[in-house]
Amino acid sequence: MKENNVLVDVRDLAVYFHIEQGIVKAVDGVNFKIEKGKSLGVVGESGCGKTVTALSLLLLHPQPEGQIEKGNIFFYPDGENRIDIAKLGIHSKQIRKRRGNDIAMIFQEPMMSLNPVHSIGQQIMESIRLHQKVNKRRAKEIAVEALRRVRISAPEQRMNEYPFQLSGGMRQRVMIAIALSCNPKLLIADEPTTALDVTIEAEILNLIKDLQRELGMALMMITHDLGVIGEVTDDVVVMYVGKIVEKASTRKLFEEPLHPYTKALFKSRPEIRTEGRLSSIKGSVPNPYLLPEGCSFEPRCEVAMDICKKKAPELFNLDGHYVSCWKYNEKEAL
Amino acid sequence: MVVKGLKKYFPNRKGFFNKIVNYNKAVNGVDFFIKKGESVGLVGESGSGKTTLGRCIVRLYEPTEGSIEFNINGQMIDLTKVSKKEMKSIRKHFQMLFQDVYSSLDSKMKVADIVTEPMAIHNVGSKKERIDRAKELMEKVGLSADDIRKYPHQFSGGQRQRIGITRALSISPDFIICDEPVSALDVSVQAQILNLLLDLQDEFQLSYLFIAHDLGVVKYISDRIIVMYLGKIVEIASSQDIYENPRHPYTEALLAAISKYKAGSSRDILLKGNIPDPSNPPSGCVLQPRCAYVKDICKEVTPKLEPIIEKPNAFVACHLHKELNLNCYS
Amino acid sequence: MFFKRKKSQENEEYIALSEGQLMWRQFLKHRVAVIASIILIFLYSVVIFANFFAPYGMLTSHNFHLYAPPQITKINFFDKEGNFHIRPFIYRQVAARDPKTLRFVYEDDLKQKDFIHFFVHGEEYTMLGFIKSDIHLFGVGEGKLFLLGTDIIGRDLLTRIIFGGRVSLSIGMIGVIILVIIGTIVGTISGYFGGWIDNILQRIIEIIRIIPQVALWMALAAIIPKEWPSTYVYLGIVIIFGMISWAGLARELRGKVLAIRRSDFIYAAEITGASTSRIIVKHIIPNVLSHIIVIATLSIPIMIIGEAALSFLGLGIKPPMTSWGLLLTQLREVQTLKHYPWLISPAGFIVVSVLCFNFIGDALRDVNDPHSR
Repeated sequence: MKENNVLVDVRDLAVYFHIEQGIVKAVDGVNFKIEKGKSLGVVGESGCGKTVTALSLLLLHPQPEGQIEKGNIFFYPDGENRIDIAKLGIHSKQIRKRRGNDIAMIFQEPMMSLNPVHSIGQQIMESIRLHQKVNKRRAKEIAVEALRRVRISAPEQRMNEYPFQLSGGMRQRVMIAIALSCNPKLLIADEPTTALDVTIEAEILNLIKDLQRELGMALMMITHDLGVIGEVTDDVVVMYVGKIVEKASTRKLFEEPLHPYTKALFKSRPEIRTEGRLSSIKGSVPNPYLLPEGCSFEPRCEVAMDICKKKAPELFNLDGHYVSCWKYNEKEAL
Repeated sequence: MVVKGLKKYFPNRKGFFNKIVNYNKAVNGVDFFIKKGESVGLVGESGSGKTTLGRCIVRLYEPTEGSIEFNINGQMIDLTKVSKKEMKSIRKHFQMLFQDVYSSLDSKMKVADIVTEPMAIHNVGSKKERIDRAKELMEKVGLSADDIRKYPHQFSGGQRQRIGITRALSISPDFIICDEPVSALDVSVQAQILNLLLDLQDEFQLSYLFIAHDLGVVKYISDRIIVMYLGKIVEIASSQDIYENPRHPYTEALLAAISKYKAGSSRDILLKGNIPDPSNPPSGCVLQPRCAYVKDICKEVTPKLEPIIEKPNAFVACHLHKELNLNCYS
Repeated sequence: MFFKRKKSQENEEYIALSEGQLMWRQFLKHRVAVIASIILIFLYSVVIFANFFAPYGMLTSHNFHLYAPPQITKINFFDKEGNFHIRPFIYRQVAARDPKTLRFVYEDDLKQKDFIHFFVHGEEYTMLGFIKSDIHLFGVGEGKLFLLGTDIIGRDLLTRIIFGGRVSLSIGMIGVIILVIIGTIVGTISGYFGGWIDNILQRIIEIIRIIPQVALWMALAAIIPKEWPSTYVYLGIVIIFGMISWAGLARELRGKVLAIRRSDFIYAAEITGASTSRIIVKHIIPNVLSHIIVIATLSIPIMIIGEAALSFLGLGIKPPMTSWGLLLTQLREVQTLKHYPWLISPAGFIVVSVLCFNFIGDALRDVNDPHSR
């Protein structure tokens, strides 16, 4: 096996939800790679499947309704060995070894993710002692260090405080501290700043970027905010209704978004310099039980062609910039 | 409307006898006005008091101090001096939109009942007339008249906000307070709702107070913008001026914290530390512990909201505003 | 999800369901609760139309069949010679006295078959005050059929249980109405207005709840004058139950009302100028109705047991009315139970009805809990 830089290689992953009314294809065949030390952004609106994708990397997707139908989640913990997370048991020891240890995750609402009845210190130390064989005193030292690293002032005092005593930004920092306490190789951040004020968001994003550099950690940033994508990520995938519609380096995506949905996302953001009416995307996200045949974006697309209704486009590779749209593969379309 | 010296303090109680320990000074002396047909944005982060201010204006909370004068049929009436009974008829003139689209509609009621309730409360029209008007409004906001038979949980977030808008419009108010109505919605849906609000403003000659924490959204919909921090107004200016020529360090910090929407960009952080506890605001200027430009006078004397001489209807509360040359971070 | 699939000819349509319909379907998934509901509907039907379902009158005593054992196990379709009869029958029981213990013993007279007929003529009655008839669901003509045996003065236990069920099952229902009315009013006012009103009401509730419910019931029941006719005593018991148990409902409702009090839709109504009564009646009550139903349903079994306990101790229902608890007073001496064990059957009915209400209440609570959606 040649030495490669890939940390996570997701191949044709599909996660379906089996509920009374039918099957919801939350994630329907996605492919992406996360490289060591680099950051991947996953952008899309609600219902696109980005959160389920992230959760499935740690087998934390809602069960029993949610099942990994097919695909692989290859994880390379040390460059050589390969583990397929998709094949591990959801309660197995192997996956628990990865959670919090190799792969950590932070969420949108820190108040919901922190246990209100335990002090901050207890919660960080819990994570440390789960994965490292250290005694209580040493765990405490590591915890204080973790708090310091996320730029919380007076960390020794903070150890004894409770979540309700902290502001939103502080709680998010504590979440990050817990996530980083075992030096993970990958940090998955699911909308970590959506609930925060914009000045705090700026601080948290800077913090995440700096820590990523310091620790050589890979980052998977999930968000609906293209601004965050621009600042934090090296590469980005755009998701819509369970599928990846565009995949490129962040620079390329911002220079020239190709997919009509991506273009519409850029245009509908009310930036400071917008004049005239905001452009919005007509229609709304389709009913997950009544997905259209062919391209799922077609009903809302301004430039839809005939073939778009009939056949769903594949992800076409345009020199490293992947887009799932017939407009970019006229030859095959005709 | 003209607001003068508005204060809203929430008592903090502790101990067995629930004694008042101190006050959460959510709104700490606020003055501003809104002209007819104007759309004023109110921007602030959490702890700024913007939501409390919005609720005081409609007398959902009773103000601790100050006056709220509202133009009802040509007469300026001080809402703080009106009895509860008289208040009811005044309430026909304003409405509110809410941020949480899930809790702003009574999930046990049909849409028909939700959107006709304001009319029912004020005895406007017969039952049939109300339903007809409701259907008409629903079509206008982008829903279908058939939706009137459904329940809120059958709708998406954007659609629920449209139901809320229909409810607000049903009694033809003059003034709508929009309390972060798009913050919880997807970006593409935000655009739809903002466009809708602008169209409705033109058609029905509405005035808006648009509360938000996001400067980008507010710029699009406002003529003038009020910036709040820790219960006080720090700057009021036209939309354009706020973004191109900020006069208060906090406004500058907000602008610096907005994403540039460019690959590889980053944001500047101009404020140090954290927002203080509103029960214990700093002495002098509310921003002084965190301000990069702080001088001694800032710690001792609270700056008053003063008009900016060259700009009509613009105000700033900063001792140093004449000397500072702030960056607009465009 | 909130849609139900309806398969039409060509394609599948989706019909939207209201929240109430959604909750009903959720409820139907709890099989135990559904079975419990069916059992309760059956029990209530039987006791409402008691005169029809019971083979005999409530006070009828059969002088030659004192302490007769139950015959429910002796119903046969095949007789001793092996012949099959479509109509079930029993062999007639004949009483005799045991010479040593002087107790009654019963034997089957194999020469006499009593066939069970349905919709037979029996004792006359006036059911529910206006239906005069003499038709009973089943009977054996000239013979005697004591499915659950008889008591010390020869009254058919099954008949007594059916009539007694009227009291036992209705006390819970009526008591719960009082409980719901008072509890809802107090809980809603407490939660909606807050402040000193809430403070005072909560302290009152706490005082009431400190005292053990059953003990308080007993104390109040003891105050009921002995001269009162049994219907007044019944009403008195019902009122006592209702007047004390509302505290639990009020407490829980207050919490729920507090939670929704600051919801945006309430604010929307207030801003528009809705009066307090409008908000409470049209917004708050519908949103807590399901909680009220759950708590009410779970309070009924407590009252059933309460009545049984009070009556067993002699503080409750007075004869000539009868209830399941009162029927159990015959078992005050363990000897009676030892010799005539069928006399404990009313307890079985108490257990079954209490369990059924509890299962239904639990299912309703599950259905109501948003996390189970």
